[in-house]
Amino acid sequence: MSFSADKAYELIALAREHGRLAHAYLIAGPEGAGKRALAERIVRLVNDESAGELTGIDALRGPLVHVVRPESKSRRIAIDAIREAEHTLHLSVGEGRTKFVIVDDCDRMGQEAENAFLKTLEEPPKASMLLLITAQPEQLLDTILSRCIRIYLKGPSGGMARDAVADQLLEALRHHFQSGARGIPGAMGLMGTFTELLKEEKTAIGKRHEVALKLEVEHYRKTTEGDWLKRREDYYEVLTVSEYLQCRSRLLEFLVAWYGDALRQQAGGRELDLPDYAAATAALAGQLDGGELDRRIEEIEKLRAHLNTNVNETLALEVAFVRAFG
Amino acid sequence: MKFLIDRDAFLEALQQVQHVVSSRTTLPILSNVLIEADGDTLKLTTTDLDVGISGQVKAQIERGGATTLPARKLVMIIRELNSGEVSVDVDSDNVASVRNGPSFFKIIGLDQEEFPPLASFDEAREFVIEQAKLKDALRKTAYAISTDETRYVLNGIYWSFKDNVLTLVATDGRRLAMVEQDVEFPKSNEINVIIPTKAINELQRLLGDEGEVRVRISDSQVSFELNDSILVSKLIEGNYPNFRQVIPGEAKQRITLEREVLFNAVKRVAILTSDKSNSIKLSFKPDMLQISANSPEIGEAHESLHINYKGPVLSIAFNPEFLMAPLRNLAQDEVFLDLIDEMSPGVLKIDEPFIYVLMPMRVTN
Repeated sequence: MSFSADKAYELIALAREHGRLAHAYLIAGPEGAGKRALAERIVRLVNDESAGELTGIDALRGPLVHVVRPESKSRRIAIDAIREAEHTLHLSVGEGRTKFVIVDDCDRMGQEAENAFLKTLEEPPKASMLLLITAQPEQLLDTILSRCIRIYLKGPSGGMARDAVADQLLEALRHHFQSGARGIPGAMGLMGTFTELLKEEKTAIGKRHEVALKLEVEHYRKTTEGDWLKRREDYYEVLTVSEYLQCRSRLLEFLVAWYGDALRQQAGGRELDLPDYAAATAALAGQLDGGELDRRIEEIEKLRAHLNTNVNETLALEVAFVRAFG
Repeated sequence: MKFLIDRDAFLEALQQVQHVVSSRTTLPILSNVLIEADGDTLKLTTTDLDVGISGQVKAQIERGGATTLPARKLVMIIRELNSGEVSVDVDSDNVASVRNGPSFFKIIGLDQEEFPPLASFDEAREFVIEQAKLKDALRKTAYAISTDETRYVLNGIYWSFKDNVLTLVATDGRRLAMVEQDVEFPKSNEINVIIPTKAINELQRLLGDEGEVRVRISDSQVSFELNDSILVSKLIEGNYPNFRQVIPGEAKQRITLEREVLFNAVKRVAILTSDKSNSIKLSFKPDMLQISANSPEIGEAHESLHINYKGPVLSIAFNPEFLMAPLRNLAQDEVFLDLIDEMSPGVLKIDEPFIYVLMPMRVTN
């Protein structure tokens, strides 16, 4: 059963009043459901800092709050990051205060990291809480799931959260199906738009990190001992790749949603991921039968699985687009 | 800020705080040492956020102030300088000019505002212990601390203040060292804490043979004040295992051994142990102890010692490193080995409140 973020917060506040707070919560839900905001509210609630505006979980970082997120080239949460988080939990912070480890996008823990985390997850040191955030809880090991209280959040009303890039992709999809472009050229055209958008995003991410790095370099240029700046350079480089992968995976989500909406309309479902494209997906629902839509969704899912391995990205995209949009 | 200081005194003060600075810091400011000049004293502080250390040294201060400078580089420079006076002049951009005779260095620091302050201890339990006593107690226990990072509560020494006795315990699950010291404190001060390895190492470095150390324990941190230095550390959270449970009760045999003779013999025989067969066997016969090692892939060694033993024939195997560790760190000439049988833990004692429990190893034949 899934709740709105507000309802989930109420339930947790109630649990706290009754002294029944669990030591580990898995907050799951689609993009835009308010997972991170809920995590932040829980942290503030438990440490009695609920007053004031939300600032984002990163602003909470400190002796009490440790945030882990995928920051490796393969956008994985490394076992070392888990170990480091555990280290902070084992140092005391004083009476009446609760330490938090927030694992953002926890589905990106590899099996090794997940297993390393199990013991702490089952029995964290006293006065500590673990919050796991994910959009894909099914990717986690059962042993992780069973050790958390799971909170499934509803998606935002009015469909998926979107940004400018997503809008451009959706427009391209509408155009693709309206124009009746078929076969390999049509698919390649769509893929062209897709990769173009990705490339733009990648450049934007890179630029953003370049600026951040430049600021650090200016501050520390002459002063730091050792390889701090080199490490920061590597860090941002890896972060760029990692965020690019996240962006790619988010865009693929919209391709699935597009066919998903068509399927829903065939079945007479009302809650659409992309309500303002209802006409376009309805038209598609009229053209293709359920089995075909299903097959195409599967092709995109397959592509996602392939992209998690070290395939040639362009090749994998080409094959998948031909199969899903050709 | 500008000051003149003797090179040797400056180096010594820097070396006392530099070990806390780790090579892979999470913040650049943590690789720097905070230098504060006031009156006729220079205060040096370093921290890695878990452990912090602060020391003082006399200097001729021409202009007070504060800055932070890269710790390792500064130590390297001062170490290589000739003896004599060093002048350090830091401008408002945290650029330091270091002069000593014909040598000149310019190093660039960071603003002291960025440096995280050490915790303060307003409401804390306070204890006063003789430095020499504490130093001895740490030496007798610290080697048994676990290095297995997944067993957090064992990554430090357990301090228990109870009934006017300070009990220190370290264990890694295969051996355990415990020391008791009389310390006076009011009943309301009784507390148990686990102090992490890094803080223990720094404390051992600071402790001398004279004077006292003032220990302050708050609900999350501990501080040690001694010889103008302050060491501050976070505490490890968690429950220390019930160690009294593993200390065997009545022993069947008490064997008196000469510490140094035993240590040297074990050390020699241990040369012929290997990763695969990492044990030495102690065989007790009337008035005789034979120590032996046997590794099929290398060879074997044995050595006999004359001892005073009247009990039955008894053989027990131990990890040689674990047997040597306490022998290396004790000062007494005589040690007592209490045994029950070959499957029960051995207990090493001296004529002071010290106990070392060592699990035996299973050996075939």
